[in-house]
Amino acid sequence: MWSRLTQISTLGLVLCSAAHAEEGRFSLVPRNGTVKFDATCFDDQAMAKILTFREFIAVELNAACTFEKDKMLLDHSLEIENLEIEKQGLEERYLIEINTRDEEIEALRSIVKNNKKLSIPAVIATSIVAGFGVGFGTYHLASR
Amino acid sequence: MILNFVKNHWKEVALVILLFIVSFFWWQDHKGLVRAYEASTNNLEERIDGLKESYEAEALKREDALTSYKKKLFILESERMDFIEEIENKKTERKFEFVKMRRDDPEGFILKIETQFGFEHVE
Repeated sequence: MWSRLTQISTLGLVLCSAAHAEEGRFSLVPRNGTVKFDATCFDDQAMAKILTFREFIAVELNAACTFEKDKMLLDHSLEIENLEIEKQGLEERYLIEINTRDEEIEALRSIVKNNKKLSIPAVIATSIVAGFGVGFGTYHLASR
Repeated sequence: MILNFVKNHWKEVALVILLFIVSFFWWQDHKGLVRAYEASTNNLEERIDGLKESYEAEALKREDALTSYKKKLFILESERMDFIEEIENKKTERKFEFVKMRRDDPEGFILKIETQFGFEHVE
C-alpha cells in the first residue's frame, strides 16, 4: 500500500513539474554564454520590445475600442439626426399639402357657390321666354 | 323703319336675343371654370413653392449635420493620432527603461518577465 502511495505521489510531482515547465523557461545569458536548454535568443532590445508590447497592448486595444465605439456613436448620431431632419421635413411638407389643399377646396367651394344658380335647362327656358317676350312685345309695339 | 324691320323679322330678333342670353350664361359658366382652374393653378404653385422651400431647408439642415459630423470625426481622429503618438513615445521610453533594467537590475528584470509571462527562470 505504501509503495503504491509513493508511486502516485512521485508521478504527481513529475507531472506537476512537467506542467510548470510547459509555461516556458528563460535565462539571462551573457555574451558567448550557454543555456541548458534549446532556446530562441532575443537581444536586450528585442526583449525590451516584447515586454513593452505586453505592457501596452491592453491600453492600445482599449483605446482602439474606445475610438471605434466613439466613431460608431458619431455615425449613428448622424444617422439619427438625418432621420429627425427627414421626419421634420415630412411633417412640414404634410402640413403644406394639407393647408394648400384646404385653401384650394375653400376657393373652389366659393366659386361653386357663386355659380350654383346656373342651371342649363333653366337658362335655356328663361332665354326662350325672354326672347319670345321681347319679340312679341316688339311686334305689338310695331303693330300699333 | 326699325320698327318695320322688327315687325317683319321679330322671330329672328327673338332668336338673336335668346342666343345672346344663352351665350352670356355660358360665358359666365366658362368664367367660373376659368376661375376654378386659376384657383387650382395658384394653389399648386403655392404648394410647389412651399415644398421647394421645405426641401431646400432640409438639404441645408442635412449639410449642417454632415459638416458637424465631419468636424467631430476630425477631432476624434486627431485625438486618436495624438494618443498613438503619445503611446509610441511612452513605449520608446519604456523600452529604454527595460534595456537599462536588464543591465542595472537583472533581478528586477527576471521578476518582470516572470510576472508578465509566467516563465520559469533558469540560472
